[in-house]
Amino acid sequence: MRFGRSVGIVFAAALLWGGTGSVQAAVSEVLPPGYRPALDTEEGGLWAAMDRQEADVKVSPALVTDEALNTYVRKIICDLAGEHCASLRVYVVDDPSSNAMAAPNGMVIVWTGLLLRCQNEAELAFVLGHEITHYLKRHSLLNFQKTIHTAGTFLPLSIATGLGGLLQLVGSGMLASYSRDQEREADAGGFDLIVGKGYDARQGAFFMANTAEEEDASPNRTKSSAYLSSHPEMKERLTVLTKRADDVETQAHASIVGAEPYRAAIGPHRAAWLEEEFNRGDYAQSVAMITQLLKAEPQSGELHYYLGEAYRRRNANGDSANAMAAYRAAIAATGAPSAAHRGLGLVALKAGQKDVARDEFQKYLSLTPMASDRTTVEYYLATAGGSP
Amino acid sequence: MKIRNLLLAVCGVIAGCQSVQMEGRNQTTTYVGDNITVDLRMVWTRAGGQGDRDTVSFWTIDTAWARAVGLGDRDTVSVWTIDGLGLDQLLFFSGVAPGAPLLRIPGVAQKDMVLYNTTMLPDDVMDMIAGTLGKSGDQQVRTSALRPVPFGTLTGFRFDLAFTTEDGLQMKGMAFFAQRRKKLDVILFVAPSEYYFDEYAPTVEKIFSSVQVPDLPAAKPAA
Repeated sequence: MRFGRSVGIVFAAALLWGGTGSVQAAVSEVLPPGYRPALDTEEGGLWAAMDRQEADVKVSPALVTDEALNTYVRKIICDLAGEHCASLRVYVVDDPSSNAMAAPNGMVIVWTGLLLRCQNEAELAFVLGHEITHYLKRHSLLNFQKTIHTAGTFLPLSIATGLGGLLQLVGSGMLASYSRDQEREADAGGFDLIVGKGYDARQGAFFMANTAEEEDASPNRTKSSAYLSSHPEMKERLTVLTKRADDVETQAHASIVGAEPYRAAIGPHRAAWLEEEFNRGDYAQSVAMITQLLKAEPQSGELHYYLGEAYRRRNANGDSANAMAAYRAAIAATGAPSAAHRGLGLVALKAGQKDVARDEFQKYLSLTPMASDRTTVEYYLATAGGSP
Repeated sequence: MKIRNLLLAVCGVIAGCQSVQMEGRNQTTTYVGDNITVDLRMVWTRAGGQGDRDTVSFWTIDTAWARAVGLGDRDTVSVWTIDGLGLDQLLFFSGVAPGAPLLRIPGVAQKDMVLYNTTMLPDDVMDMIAGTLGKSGDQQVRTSALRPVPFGTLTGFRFDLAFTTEDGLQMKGMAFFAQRRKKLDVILFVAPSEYYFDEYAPTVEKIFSSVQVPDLPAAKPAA
């Protein structure tokens, strides 16, 4: 899925039509509902380029097509955006990174890694409100104009191909990279939007704190994630958000958290997203993230199982015991997959606990007689001195 | 496997890219490193492969020209293709040593890769291979059906996988591996799920079955 240099051509044409001095009317404070710029302006060129990117996004195999999930996310955005709802189009993309972006033309991309990490509807609403604010305040346009007028071109977007290229630009910070003042403004806007809709005012700060904790957990951490790299210092951000939440809580207001509807919406997908999370290969962050989720859902066998998987795959000092404990917690909780027995058997086998390994492998085969890896587990079982 | 990452990975670890003699165009029994030979069954173009002392070579070929883009010592990757690297790849990772990654990926520090160790169970090796694909930029990497199979006269394992490239191409693959003499040998075939994978999967099955290794004991799982 490529469109070659077509975006570059659109940009070049837009610039030629507009000329370097033909900046459109001064950027307003907030976009009017239903706004669309004239094509012979820089803003029109930017929108046209993003429209071409959006055409690729629409047909990407990475798009999550589950209508129920899309409807749920779309409803949150529409509720927050109000009269701007019709201008925003949401796309959920299957990618384990924790990110979201609102393009200048109203395309909103939500990464499944973000949905995995949010613990409730209010947290997601804060992030979406933050992105909606970037859109309404035309932050992308301001940055685009700055780049164009400084460098004479905006090469990255002209060479990005397909959804993958677009996500790479976002991940690298070359696209949807904002100044700290713009991020502060987006934080404030996101906060106002969720409070205005009756969401718990503290959930934005909770999300930020969890994100920072997860990032700090990585021993290989070299820079902040795409979501945080251009954002103001976390301490300042948390302080501001917490103070504003304190102020709001002195007033009578609704305090919607929305944990249950949120879990219902993402529940059918979460196991697959957790599997994909491991493809990132940063198991320390995975451990931190799943541990955070477990604080809100201590009885989730699914989460305990994936915590065990994260420890088993990381295989650092002490992780054998950590993984065993997590698998055992999964088995004792509700909703654990039968693979928890398998995982416990694997760790026990490597630890030389053949009796435990045999028992767990036999339970796994008993619970999953048609498992696609049955012959491998039988091999492990034989290695541990047992038989099916 | 992301093609440009693979090219960069192979070329990036060597001091310079040198021209190499084209070989293997019509031969069927082929040495792929670490004392392993396979029967390629049909004419595969060797896009990268070992020369002396486990060297790595990498070239693309059409009927008119051959161009080497890499040749180095001590590397253990060779890549073959029938219709071109963008359409099908048969990769041999031979003799991956403890502490080494399956593949060096440009821009990814070795400490961020899963490194091979001799205590790995077959599940761990499968996760390592899938993780390497993920680190190279592939998305939605999914593995399934890990099962033991003969690897020459030894016990090896294989599994199926599916993923999406950064460019949105949906791929399928199958991997075949064994641990022996404290090293890891992997044969990995990947191709677009539309047409190419199914077209060449039967041939790759025969290649898996044709593996010959010296009659040495396989590494056993730790326990």
